[in-house]
Amino acid sequence: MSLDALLALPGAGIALQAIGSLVAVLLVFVLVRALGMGSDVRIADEAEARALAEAAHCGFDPVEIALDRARIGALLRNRAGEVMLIRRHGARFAARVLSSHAGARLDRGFLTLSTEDPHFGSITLDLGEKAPVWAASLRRLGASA
Amino acid sequence: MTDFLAPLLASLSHPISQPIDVIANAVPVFVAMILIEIAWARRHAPEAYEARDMLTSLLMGLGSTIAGALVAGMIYAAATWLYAHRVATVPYAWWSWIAVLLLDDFNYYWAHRTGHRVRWFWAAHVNHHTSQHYNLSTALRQTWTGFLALSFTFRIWPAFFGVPPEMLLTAGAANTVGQFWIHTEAVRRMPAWFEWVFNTPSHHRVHHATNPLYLDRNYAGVFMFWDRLFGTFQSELDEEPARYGVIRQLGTFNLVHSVFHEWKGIAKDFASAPWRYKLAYLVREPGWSHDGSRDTSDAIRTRWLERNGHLAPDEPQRMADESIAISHP
Repeated sequence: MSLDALLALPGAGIALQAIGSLVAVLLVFVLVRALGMGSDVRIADEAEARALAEAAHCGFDPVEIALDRARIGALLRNRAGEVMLIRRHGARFAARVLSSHAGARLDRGFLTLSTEDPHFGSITLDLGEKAPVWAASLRRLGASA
Repeated sequence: MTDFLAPLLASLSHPISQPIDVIANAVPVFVAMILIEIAWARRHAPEAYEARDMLTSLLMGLGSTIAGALVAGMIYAAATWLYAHRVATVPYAWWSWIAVLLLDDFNYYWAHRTGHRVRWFWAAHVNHHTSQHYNLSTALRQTWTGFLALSFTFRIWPAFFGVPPEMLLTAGAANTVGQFWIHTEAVRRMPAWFEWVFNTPSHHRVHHATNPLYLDRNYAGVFMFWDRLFGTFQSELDEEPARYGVIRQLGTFNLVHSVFHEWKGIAKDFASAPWRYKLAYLVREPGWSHDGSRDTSDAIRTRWLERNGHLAPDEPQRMADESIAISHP
């Protein structure tokens, strides 16, 4: 089939435009990646973890905070015993209030956590000696605890 | 001046045979502006762009364009049907173009407001808000399911009152293009008169923010006075920098999930809710639940105002609905 005949097919114009746009999109993606944009964000301290928790859930007052050693995530507990997981998402942070300990796995100082939301993914926090304490306390969460 | 204006005004009096594809013509400008903003961000705000976030935004934009192309004919046909049964006729003229641009912007305001206050419409519109970044690529993070949600009905009704469908759809496309440039952190504030009349980066940062004070504010498309008129205006405050995204951040760059997550949520709630509450999960505001287990934006906003001493617990909700200035202790 000749190129002219191919272009004469119904929808060929839109398809060609879509392919061209896709190529342009990928080129811009490669450019932004090559420029190293999107900073390497870390949670500076407990005050920032507290602010991130408040931003994620207005009124969440943590009374206990555990920061990952690399500061890529944190666990926070409020007075009501609710536990919030904060983790890095690209150049920002995202959070979930945990509803059970079902997704928690302890390996010495490392605590791996996943939530009910499979798209949120899992994260392994390096909590050092605090890890077993938090793992034990997570068992109090939810019906499956 | 007159030499320039006369042919322009005359050309606006000529009927057009089909809607002008303003968006397709603007694509090169979109690309150029994104590249310029990337260059700006590299020097001044490297965190403003994140490659995977931007990729998701641009792919959503591409998908939206394809979805739009597939249904454009149906929307055009619906508007044409209304026009065929019209009760009046609006002529092509320079003044009617201005009037239709203004009317379409008014319709956009209500479509947009409904898109935030009715979960059915929110399921389509939420796509535009799922980025935690705010840059020109975010402007292209558009819905694939707007047609399914029937959002277009807010925009085509003037055809029944005699606005030619071609004029109406061209005005709609121009409105979309006119909102592209406001999705940036590169522009701090425009001159005061401009900020009063037009939607600007500052006003629209408020709209995209998840700060409780900013939730469900500034729905305007091109002209800002609709929000001032209908009580939904909130100015951007230096002491309250905007944080972007949705209340429950997605935490993923997955394209398909980003596009359909709220529809999936509706389906799940609809299936599991008691019969008398099923419809409410479609028509009530996002965050509403029959057992009160979730937060609406009104509830979050009121709680924040109470916690920050701006609203006593028993003060009426209208206080929470006013545009306010705050000062932190």
